[in-house]
Amino acid sequence: MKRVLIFSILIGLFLFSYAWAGSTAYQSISYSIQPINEIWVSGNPPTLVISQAVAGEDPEDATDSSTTYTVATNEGGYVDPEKPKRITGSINQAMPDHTKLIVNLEAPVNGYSEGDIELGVDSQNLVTGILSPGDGLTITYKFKATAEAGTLSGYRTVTFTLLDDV
Amino acid sequence: MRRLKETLMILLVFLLCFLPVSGFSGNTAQQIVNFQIQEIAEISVSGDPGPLTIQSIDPSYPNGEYDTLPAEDSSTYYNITSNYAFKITGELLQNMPQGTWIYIKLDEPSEGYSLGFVALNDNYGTKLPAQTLLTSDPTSSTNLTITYKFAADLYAGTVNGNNTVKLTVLDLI
Repeated sequence: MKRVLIFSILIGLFLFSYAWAGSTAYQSISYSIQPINEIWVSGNPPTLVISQAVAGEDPEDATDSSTTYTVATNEGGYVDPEKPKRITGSINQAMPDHTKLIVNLEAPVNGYSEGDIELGVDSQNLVTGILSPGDGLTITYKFKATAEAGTLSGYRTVTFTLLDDV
Repeated sequence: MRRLKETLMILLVFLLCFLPVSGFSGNTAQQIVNFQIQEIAEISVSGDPGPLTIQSIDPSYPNGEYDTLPAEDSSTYYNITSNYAFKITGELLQNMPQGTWIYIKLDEPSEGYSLGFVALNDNYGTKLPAQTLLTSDPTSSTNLTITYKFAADLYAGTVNGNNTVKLTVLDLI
């Protein structure tokens, strides 16, 4: 009986001290940040139009650098230099014969651009070794064609993907 | 002998006139009652808030206030009773990781002024006691909302942790 009484008093004191701690009160908070890896573009580029050529040569490339991309990642950088990221690119359908769609992505400060890359349905590295976020980075497209391509029109969807660079 | 009697009579009259009457059983009685109210300041909370989890980028990145979308919780309440002008301060017991911030906002009692969201740590994560609420009038209020906000920039990386917030009622002056 005495033990029960003492136990009850101790429990009571504990509850009292938690709920009514005089002029102070305590709250325990737990927090977390999940991995964030996002990439997005400013919009679609205008139509790439090939319309000029020098006699005897293939038509001149159509070029556009009016769009940008932003990459946001909280992995890598000084937090974890062992976790760099890369960006790959692909198109949803092969280009017409005798034409090429080439892309060049400007790299973030801590990243490496692979330069001009001809896009295909298989993903290819465009930027590697990304260790920091970046925004407003230029996307440059070149549309190339030989005379054999003839006249045509069409469109392709380009997919950029942010991945671990392992 | 006669002189002694006269002295005793005078002493008796003096005692009847000037001594406190509390011990006497006449038709009146008097008592002196002292009273006092001491300073009271009590604060309690309803429990702990839910986990604060950041899992997406701020839609306005990189032009937003933070890189990531802050996590918020308003599920807990506090009760306050104070019979003097007071302020409530908030304080973390441990530092936070660099690039993260814990904010707290206390809903104000009818006679108080909340300072809104106040940071409990600086840009380096060092804990920073802060005033959260001021009031110049006594009050007794219950179920006032506590809101926590957890914000981070991308350089904070991925994080998991716990901390404790201490709310203290102090004299306003």
